[in-house]
Amino acid sequence: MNKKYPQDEAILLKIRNGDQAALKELHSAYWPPFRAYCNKSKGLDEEAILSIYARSFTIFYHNIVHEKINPPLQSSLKTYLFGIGNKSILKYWNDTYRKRVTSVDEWHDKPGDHLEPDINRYYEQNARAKLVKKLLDQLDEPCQQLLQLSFLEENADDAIAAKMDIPSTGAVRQRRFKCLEKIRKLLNQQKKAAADG
Amino acid sequence: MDSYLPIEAYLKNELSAEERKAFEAQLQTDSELRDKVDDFRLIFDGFDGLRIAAMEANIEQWTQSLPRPQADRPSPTIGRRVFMRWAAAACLIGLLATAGWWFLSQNNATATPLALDNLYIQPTLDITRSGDAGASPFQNGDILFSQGQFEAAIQALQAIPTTDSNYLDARYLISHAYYRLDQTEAAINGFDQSLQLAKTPQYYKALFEADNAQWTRLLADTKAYNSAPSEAKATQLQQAIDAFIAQEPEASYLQLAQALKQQLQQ
Repeated sequence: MNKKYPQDEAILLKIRNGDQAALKELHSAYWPPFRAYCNKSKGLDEEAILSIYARSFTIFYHNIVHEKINPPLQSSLKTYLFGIGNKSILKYWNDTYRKRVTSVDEWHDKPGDHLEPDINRYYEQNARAKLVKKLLDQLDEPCQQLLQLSFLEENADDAIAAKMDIPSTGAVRQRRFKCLEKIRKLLNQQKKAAADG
Repeated sequence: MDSYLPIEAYLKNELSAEERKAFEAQLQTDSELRDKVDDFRLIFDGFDGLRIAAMEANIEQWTQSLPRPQADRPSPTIGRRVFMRWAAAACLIGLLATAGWWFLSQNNATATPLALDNLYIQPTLDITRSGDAGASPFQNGDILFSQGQFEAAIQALQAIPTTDSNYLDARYLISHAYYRLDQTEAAINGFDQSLQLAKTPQYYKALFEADNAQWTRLLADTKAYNSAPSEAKATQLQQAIDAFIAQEPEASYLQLAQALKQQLQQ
């Protein structure tokens, strides 16, 4: 099957793989048309547009990493973002005129999918992130640094070896395993405490 | 550690179909392994969540540093009367300024060429520039362009068919080459065509340098003006610069446009 948007798909995969530069480039590239659209078609002021753009782009990013937007793309990435933007504009108007329009939709307050809000997934991951952060803070400094470089900054093992002055990539893997075991032990203590409490 | 590696590979979807099947069969019978997988799934998902949260913070930060107009526009719903008063005052000032400018231009009408030094910005097509010479017609044209062989670059790039995914970038680069060769009319036509193509779904590119295309087109207009300066052409150029500024290009282009405008007004 012919790809309609091969370049957009390549960008999408880069972002999904953690390419921050590609995401930032897209963020800059889409801003002028998004801003012009909100200003000229919707008559929104600058502050509102900025807030809507931040929200829309965050949801757009979530949808990419959580595989809500997948190749083969049926529309360009820009169209996806603008689709989310339209929903965000509705939410903005809804919030602005809340006194007249009643809305109790919880998903409006958290990033979700513009087509199928997956709020449970969002909350679940958010809760797990908080828990892991808490456990990470209890680890010793070298373990914190090693796990941070591995899983948050997604460094390759050779880069981690160089940064942390570890003799080999094999040693990096060994140490990471030990650190993960430590964090798992803390997790189980936490689970036990929760069960006992 | 031996038992950890397949868990990580399983959770990261790095096992082959066969290995995955075997691993899942083992999960059915090994409760200790199942517990480990559940724990590591939670931990990895938590790390993903932290990474996403960090990226969200970055998005927020990038948004705050996006280029914005120097003075915020008034809200369409708040302060409308104040806005209308200011707008009326601005119109009056604009009218007086235009009348004054027209009066002065009638009495002091010697249009002069404008300096174009340091106003040109090279196109940046990094994705393809890393290719080897001769690897594709586009890369070849791109390399020739970067070597300053503009005529050869045009020839190479013109061979790219309309169906090629690089067609838009090729037209854009050809326009730059014409500009560098001082073939202003061809450059202007080329940039107009590129800007039109960039709006069509077939050729749309998120990263197309629309600001650069419009700016270099404006520089080509300036070159055309320089070839035979006149008051009428100066007025047209001024309008073109104002139209460019009104589109609120990136800060670097905005500054250059303001500098060009200032030069024209002097």
